[in-house]
Amino acid sequence: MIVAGCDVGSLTGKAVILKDGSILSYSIVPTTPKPERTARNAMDEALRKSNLSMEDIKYIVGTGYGRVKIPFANSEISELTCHGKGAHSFIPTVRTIIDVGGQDCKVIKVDKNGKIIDFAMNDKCAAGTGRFLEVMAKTLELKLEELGPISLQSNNQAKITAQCSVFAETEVVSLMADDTEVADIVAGIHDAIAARIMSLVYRVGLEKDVVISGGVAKNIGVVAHLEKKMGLNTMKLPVDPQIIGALGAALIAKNKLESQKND
Amino acid sequence: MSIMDKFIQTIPLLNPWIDNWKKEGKKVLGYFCTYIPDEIIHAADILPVRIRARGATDTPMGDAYMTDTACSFTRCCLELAHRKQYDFLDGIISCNSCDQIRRLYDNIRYKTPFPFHHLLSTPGNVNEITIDWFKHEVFKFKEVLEKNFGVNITDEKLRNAIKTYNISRTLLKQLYMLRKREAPPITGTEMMNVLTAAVSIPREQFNELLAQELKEADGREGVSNYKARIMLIGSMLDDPEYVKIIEDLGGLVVTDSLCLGTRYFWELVDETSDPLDALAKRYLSRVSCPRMAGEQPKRMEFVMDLIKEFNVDGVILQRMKFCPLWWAEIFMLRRRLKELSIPFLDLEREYVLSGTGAMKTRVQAYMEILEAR
Repeated sequence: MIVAGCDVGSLTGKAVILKDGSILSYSIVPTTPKPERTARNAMDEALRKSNLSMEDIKYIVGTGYGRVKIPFANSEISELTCHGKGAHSFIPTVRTIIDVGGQDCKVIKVDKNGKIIDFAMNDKCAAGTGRFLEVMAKTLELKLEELGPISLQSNNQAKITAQCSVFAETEVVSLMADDTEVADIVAGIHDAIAARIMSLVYRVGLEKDVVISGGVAKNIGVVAHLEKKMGLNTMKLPVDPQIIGALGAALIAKNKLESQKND
Repeated sequence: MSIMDKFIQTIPLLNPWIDNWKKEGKKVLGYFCTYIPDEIIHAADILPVRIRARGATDTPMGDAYMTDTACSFTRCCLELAHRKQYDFLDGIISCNSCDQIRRLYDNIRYKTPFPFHHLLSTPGNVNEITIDWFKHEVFKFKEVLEKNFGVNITDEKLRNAIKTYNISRTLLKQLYMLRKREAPPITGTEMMNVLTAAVSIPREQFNELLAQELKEADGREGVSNYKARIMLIGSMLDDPEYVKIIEDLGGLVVTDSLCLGTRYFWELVDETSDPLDALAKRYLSRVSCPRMAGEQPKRMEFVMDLIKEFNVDGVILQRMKFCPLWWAEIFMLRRRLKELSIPFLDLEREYVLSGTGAMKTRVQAYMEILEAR
């Protein structure tokens, strides 16, 4: 049984193809202005990687910001439910999922079956999202992938006080002008993003085990800062954390196909 | 034109009924909020209209005079006042509901004054002493109206007004009772139109339309393809589109605790005692808004009763950004709902509907939570 999940996000589109519950292939593509096109690009890439065609996929669930605009999806589910499902499939003990994406961050509380029971989202500003890191990387003339490791080299973290990412950028520029160590600035940025995310965690309530998903989970600095603030180690996913939403969608597709067969 | 279409016609600020009323040479007074006894205005043969800000989009004047951290409802009202959208009103009556409304009233008096203003001073808690105080305020209000508009508000006129308004309350409650059915014959979106009409057109004509709607609704098959029965709680909401977003995703709104909803009409005014006394007592001690100190347990009980009566599956709490009263209220509601394992969704909003993608994601996720239970 071959199914797929397609997650059209704000910065990237993802597709995961499952065969009998195991990942056959996946893709991460840049988002285009048209969600339909992003979805198709993501699916085409995943199909290409597994040498399949669209006809081979028996059920597709769409999710993400662009979920209503995926023409080949059989149904669409919120990314909250999908991230819950996806994370739980690898780590059944997970109860709190922190998903930090390109332009939003969310904290999802799941029960022992991976069903979501509560959530908190920030999708109104860039604070606490990948976009914030992108902006900062540009300001500091660093590559996005360098930020995490550099943040861990700091001995004297700078304090970034501005709530808004745009004003935080101004603060960083002044710190640079004051010859503050780059590692200290980067650590300060990571602390700010973690603090913003923590307020969502407190709203939902912290419960072990914790998993961090989304593209920003690949930033070891953000992970380290969050773990320090939470006073625990998070459970690491054995796959690219950026595909967890699409994976959850694919798992739901599998369930839906199975219940269709049983009807 | 169906009856619902007629209700929908009352949504724009200057609707055909108000237009006709004014053409007859009669006066219209706009008011904030549910603590103002409509009946007194009605007894003076003046049309009381709840001030809403339908049609507001951006608020540059509102932001400038009230700061952009005031609640968006008040900023929208001030904006519309500046843009002369309330020029059909012959006056404004306000009470000291909250700091934002007070600043709005001040700003209107300062920058966009009307021929008549009155502030009905409303106590901050409910007991024998404050009810007595409110009786004095209500009496003063009556006298001010009489003096300003050259009318004589007799006891008989007041009693008739109370009767008329009690009819609305009874009919509205009966319409709500129909929503207890497994297949409610009226949606929350449609109800929003009815509630808007209640505070926007002459009361006798509203009662006629309402009675017709009630009769038709009773015979209707009703809506059964919904995912969950929702109670909607929060502050000033008069936008059917907001409710429609929730209902389009499968959350049928079957009851509420809203300014224009149950909190407006649930209790009757006593028709046997002195009319002004009865009005003061009812308006002050009816199921309160969070501005009333010490009344949270009663408000909570009211919510719990409705959840049971209407077989509610989940509660959606909505609050205007920057509203301190509702932050506190929702915090307490959430805590209690969590204790009782009643699922809820906490939504922040602005008066003008925007960013619907974000709202839809949350509501959809909430529906998925409810479906899984």
